[in-house]
Amino acid sequence: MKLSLRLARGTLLILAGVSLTAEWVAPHHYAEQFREAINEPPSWRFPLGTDGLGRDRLSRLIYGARVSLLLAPLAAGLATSLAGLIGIASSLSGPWLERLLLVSTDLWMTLPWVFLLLTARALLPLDTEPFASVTITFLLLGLLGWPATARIVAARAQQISQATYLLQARACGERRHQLWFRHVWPNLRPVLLAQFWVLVPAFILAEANLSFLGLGVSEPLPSWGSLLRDLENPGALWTQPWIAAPAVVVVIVIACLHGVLPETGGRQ
Amino acid sequence: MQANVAELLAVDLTVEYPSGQRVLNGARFTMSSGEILGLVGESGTGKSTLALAILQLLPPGTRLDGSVRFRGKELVGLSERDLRQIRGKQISLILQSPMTALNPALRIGEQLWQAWIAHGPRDREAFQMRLERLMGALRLPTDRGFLQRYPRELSVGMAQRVLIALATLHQPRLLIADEPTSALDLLTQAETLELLAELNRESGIGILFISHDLNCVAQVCDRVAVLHGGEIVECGPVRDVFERPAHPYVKRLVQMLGARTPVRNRHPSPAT
Repeated sequence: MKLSLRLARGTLLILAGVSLTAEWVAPHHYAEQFREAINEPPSWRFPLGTDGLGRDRLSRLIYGARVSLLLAPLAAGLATSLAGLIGIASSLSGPWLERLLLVSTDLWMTLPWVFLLLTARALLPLDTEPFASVTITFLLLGLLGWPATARIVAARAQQISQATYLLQARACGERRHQLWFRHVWPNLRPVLLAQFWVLVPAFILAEANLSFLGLGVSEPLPSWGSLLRDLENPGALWTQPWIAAPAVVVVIVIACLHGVLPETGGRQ
Repeated sequence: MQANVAELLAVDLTVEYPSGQRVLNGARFTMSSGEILGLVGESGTGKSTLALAILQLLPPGTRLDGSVRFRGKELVGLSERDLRQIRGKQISLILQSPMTALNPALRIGEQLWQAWIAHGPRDREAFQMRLERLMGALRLPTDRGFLQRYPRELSVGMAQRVLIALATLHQPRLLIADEPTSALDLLTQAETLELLAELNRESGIGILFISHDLNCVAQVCDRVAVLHGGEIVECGPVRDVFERPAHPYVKRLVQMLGARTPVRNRHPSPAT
């Protein structure tokens, strides 16, 4: 295994582990306010300082990782499943239904979905429960993120349906379910897996963007996007460089996810 | 045509692609049990189409007229259910290039198992027993390590023999081999031909040997049919056809073969 791959995997595992055990690892609760220590610089007590409400930045970063690292894969799973179903259905169906499915996929793809996300999210009341806001945000991402993947799955399924080995299997008299589960599916699975791993970082970023605009996960629940909002004022970066920590973590995680990608996608 | 007891296959086919191109135009020939019939013709004359048409495996939209009678039973118009029972069990097909005919994502053992349970019971022991005999005859290893391999880990010659194993698992009456030697080097070509001849000798399996290589055909076939312009222009014992060709196209073919034969004799292939 290449060193970079090991490094990427290790980093992700550690981050996932830390975010899962946030209750024990984080020095403070994410919503706990220390009114006597507002906008503190890093110290032993607050390794990354505190924010404008006197909350520990490191603890919020750790809890925020949980939201992003756990929910992005779930949303990616949802989007990949939808894409798989639609892609497969289009390749199995007759020419008419296939065209209909592909056209609607294209249409779905042409929708300005960032705008749509914003609209959908803005329609929700401002006092939405933090947990509900998380669920809704990622549900929306999952529901909107499938078309490109569906296209890829459809193309691959089409290719497989014309493969010589499938014809050979039919010539051997194999049953329909054998053809499907033993010949088509094993060849389709790597594509879906690769797509899943492409969507995870995309969704992490999408959530960060939405929350940055105040339309993602709602306060006091932290997410990487809402933590990035502190960077809105570039001047602050000079006086308080530690507030850039969430941005650095996001970049590291995305880089690591892309680092793990080829290994997962390239396997036959 | 009178129904012959020994008649294995009687084909009379016209096939038109969705584009309107007529590939086969009343191509007609018969095969008797246990014989090896060579089907020769240039690339693109519809040899592979004929192979697929016999098993009713042509792509949807293709128009097929005529009849395919296998042991007195008409296959044209049969339901997909009934055809499945025949495919792989009574009539087997080996497709052209062994590397693409095997599923790249499946281990060899799994592929053989799938072909086995398509017709046999899910009986691992019976499968193992059949496999051991078959693999032995095909000079393939039967150990777990070999069955655990993926097609890409095999040589082309081995892949070809695995494909033959796949096709003869259920001891069919007829094996259609579509250009089984064209992807192979001379040595593996000779080996494959020998294997097919052996299979034919030992189990009495009829083989429809499709090839554009007249040398191969001359080596293993009892009779030869020449496909040209969508029709069988000549069909008869190999010697008759090659020594006294009647059709001008066949004459030209044989002349070309004649021109090449001395070269072959001066440089005999290592296997002969």
